[in-house]
Amino acid sequence: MGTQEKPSSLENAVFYVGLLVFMGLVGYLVFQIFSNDALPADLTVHFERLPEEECGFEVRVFNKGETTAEAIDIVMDLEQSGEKVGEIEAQIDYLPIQSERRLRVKFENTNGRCDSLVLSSVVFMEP
Amino acid sequence: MRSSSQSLKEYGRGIIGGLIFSLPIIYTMEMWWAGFTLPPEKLLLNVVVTYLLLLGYNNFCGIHHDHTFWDVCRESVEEIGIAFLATFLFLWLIGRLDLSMSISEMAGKTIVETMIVAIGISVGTEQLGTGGGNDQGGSEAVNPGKSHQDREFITMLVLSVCGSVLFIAPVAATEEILIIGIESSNVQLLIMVLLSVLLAVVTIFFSDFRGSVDGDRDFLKMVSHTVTVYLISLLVAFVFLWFYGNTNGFSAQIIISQVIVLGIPGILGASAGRLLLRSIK
Repeated sequence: MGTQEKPSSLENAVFYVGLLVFMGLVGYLVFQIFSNDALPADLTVHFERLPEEECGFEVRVFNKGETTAEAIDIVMDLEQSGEKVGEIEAQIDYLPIQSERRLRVKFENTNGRCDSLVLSSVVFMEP
Repeated sequence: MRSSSQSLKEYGRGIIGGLIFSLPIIYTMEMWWAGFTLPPEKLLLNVVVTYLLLLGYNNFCGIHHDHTFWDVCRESVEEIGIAFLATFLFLWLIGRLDLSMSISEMAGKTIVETMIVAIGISVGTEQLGTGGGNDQGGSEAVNPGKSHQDREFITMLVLSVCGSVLFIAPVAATEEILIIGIESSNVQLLIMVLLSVLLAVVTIFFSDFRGSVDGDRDFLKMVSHTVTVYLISLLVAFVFLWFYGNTNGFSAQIIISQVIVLGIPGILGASAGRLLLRSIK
């Protein structure tokens, strides 16, 4: 930043850190450009029952693809012995590449009829 | 040799300047999203263009007269480094970054915001200090053969682009620009264009702002100056819209509407912002 006089040791240190950051950013982005095949977003959804809730589940949505998914809409059916007893819908604004979002869903008034949660549909946009 | 305390003061000034200009961006949701929706090609372009802008600003508007091109390059690298660290810390502080996120998400968010913070740091370092020189000598050592008028014109262009970038960046990524663009009638858009031009003319020629044109109000010069400044602001507006993907899939009419809407902050930056960037010293 100061340039008229000989740089101080602090300025030298900041310059080398800055150079490292700058080269790192450029290197990282060049690597991304050549390694990224721009495959579409690939979402996987996992359910796990919450032990503390009678009809509660943790839903984990993961994007394995190489493109961010936008405006994700997930519809899940609650079933008892293969019979649908409820439905729930969740929205996520964005799910970046190699990222996960966790949701908690809870069904009310099911009288304990909730042995499984099944993914019905996943809809998303490509930004 | 400069003392470390002097350098520390300059860095402090730079970081404060960076935050003054870029805090609205750090707090804007669309900017966080842009970090992981933009392809790496655009992010790289962002880094390169920002570096070139920093070179231009530091060369033509820096407070030091006897700098070499190497000094300007070095200064610009320092500013990007400081901006990256400051942005990373700030985004972490407001909970927009955490270590459970993927590297691409963290890097994208930080890179998008870093570039505006870096320009803010450059402006803050040069303008918030008290020890500045004048704005004439910046490029003497680098381009000794250039005429004064040429240098003045290039300085005006660089400052106008920097001013436009600083004013357009906080709003360009937001959905509001698209909504205003879509919902504005042709009459409203026409008034926006006229208002933009009027703002530029008043700011540059009749405002008595420090650094504005005083006395010399030649009509042709006024027209050419205003047209140049407005073209710069429209161009910067279009580049930002393209960068954030707000031109994809829209008709030419909607793109033009958005450019006109963004042109208002753009021309304020290119005229008033430019005078501010230059005249504080």
